[in-house]
Amino acid sequence: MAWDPREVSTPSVLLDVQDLVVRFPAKRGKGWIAPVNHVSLTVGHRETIALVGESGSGKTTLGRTLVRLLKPHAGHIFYQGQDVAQWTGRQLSAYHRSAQLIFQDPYGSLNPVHTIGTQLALPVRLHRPAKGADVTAEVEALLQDVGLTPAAEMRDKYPHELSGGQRQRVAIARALAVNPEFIVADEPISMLDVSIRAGILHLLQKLNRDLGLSMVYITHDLASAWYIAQRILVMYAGVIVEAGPSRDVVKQPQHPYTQLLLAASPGAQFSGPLPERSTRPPNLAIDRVGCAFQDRCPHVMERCRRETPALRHTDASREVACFLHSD
Amino acid sequence: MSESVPNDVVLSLRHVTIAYNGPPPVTVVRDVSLDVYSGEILGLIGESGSGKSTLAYAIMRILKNGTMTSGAITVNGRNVYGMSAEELRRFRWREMAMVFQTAMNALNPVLTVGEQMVDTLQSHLSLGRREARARALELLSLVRLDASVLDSYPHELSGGMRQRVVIAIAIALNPRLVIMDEPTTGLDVVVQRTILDEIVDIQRRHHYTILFISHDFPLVSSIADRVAVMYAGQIVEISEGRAIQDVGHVHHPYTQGLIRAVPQLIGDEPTAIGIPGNPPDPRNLPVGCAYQDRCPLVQPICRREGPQLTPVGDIVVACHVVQQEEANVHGLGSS
Repeated sequence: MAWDPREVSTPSVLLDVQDLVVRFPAKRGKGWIAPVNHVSLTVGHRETIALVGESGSGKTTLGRTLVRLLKPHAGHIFYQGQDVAQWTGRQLSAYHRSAQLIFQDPYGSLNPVHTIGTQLALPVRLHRPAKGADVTAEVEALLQDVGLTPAAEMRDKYPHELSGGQRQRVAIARALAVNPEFIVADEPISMLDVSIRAGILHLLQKLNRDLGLSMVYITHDLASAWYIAQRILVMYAGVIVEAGPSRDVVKQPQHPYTQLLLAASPGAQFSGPLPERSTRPPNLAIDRVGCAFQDRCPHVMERCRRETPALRHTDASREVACFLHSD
Repeated sequence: MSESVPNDVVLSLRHVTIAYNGPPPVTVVRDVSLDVYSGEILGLIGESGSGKSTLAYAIMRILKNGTMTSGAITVNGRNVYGMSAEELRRFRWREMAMVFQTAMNALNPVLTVGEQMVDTLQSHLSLGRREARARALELLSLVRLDASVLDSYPHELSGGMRQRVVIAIAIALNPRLVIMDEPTTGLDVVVQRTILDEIVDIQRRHHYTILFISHDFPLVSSIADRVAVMYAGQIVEISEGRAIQDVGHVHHPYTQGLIRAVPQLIGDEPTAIGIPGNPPDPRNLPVGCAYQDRCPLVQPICRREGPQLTPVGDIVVACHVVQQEEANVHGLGSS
């Protein structure tokens, strides 16, 4: 018997995404590709979830759609009860004050010709009712929040004078400048040196704890997802194939794709051939038939080629989209 | 190290110091000595600015805006810096080859894969076009690429396929030494694992000697026989590949820091303990150990003298504290 997800929904939901579809024209030939293909998920108040997947999984497209830098083709994004999926203009600006994105590349996301102070003052002026000296004070407070001290000194620096980790802190400060409640962090540590990654992870944890931010952490790295998120959602070819408490997903992966991802992860101490049948890239065609993972799955069955498995609860907290686990 | 069988050394670095041209010149590799033995995979780990890629470029003698100011580099017993331009041209690719970090930039976008491979083969071997194409096909199958790739342009291939092509070109002439500079960075996890498995498989069968450069700790430790850790232009530790991930093993404090810095998949709870501070500015290095300002074990001596690489147990480490602890343990043990 299937579980009713409504019975086990998180106590207080900030973001409730239902049946979201984002599509783009296919590069070759006709038709559409859907990097987000009927995705439903929730993010609770003060909750951090991780979207884990590889390139082509749709995780970045989904993240950008959640903060409405992209407009979905279909589906709903209920933010505190209001559907922001099709908002435009003033309404959308208002949503952008609540929902912010942190980019992967701290080298490309800052303007090289402006000081850190100037870059932070702009969103502060636009989104906070502050003037003159107040702006300076707010900018310094932001720099304090993200651990860039002494703030008065950091304010006058240019991006090229900062290390990668410091730049990513500036990018985080800029996202915080509008006092958001919800942050999508897209691979925020993948371009940073190993020794400073932990510092950024700790900062994100602190913001989650102290400012009560809800967060979607996007990554290809299961280990950092486990570290920072309460729940992990694994994406493949535009769909969520597995979701559950982070520890359970890492320790007992149920979907064959999660098992493959785990086996391939450096540090998983897996040896032997990887559990996949082919290395074919994911098929994103909107009209594909059957399971998204069928070409690579070592357990593929006849049914997987005809029908698309839905994401179903296997117990109160875990979901998987795989016929191996249904019925 | 304490190998009883005398291995032959394929790559030997002696007191290599490299500076980027000024003004003023900036020394980014300082007094590096290292031997890489025939048939081994030596992992070279370091963060950005540690000098690991500069060292690779120096071995290939393709430094840009930089000069090896002292030291010697020999490959297969030949002094790389004692060759004429023509000798060097023949030597490169035949005896030593390099896989560059960005596969897209390493391939020519307006030539097919086949043309580039045939070109490489013909410029070093006296092969006819047909023979060269046949050899190119052989090489592609070695890295598990379909024959159709031969007539493809680089942009038609995925990142993983391009990287396989670059690896195939690097081993085209059966060089003894292959330098791989972050060969899988930017690739997906599964593709990365597949290519690493292929590298190890090809290496085992053809006995290449590989210098594998990366910043990814778990990745290097999974494929390397030995690992050298670089910090601020110097080698601070050389260990067995298996030992390098073991936090209980004796390590340089920087290595310990790196092991703890990223969450691990094994174990009960993931932890991440960062290393405070930033690497020192190479223009303004402190007196003594370069790691002193970030080191939890720092002692007064570390601020006076730079530690030398010294054997401690089964590793070689440049750290006063680790060396002293070892001496104390031995002192107690013998009394």
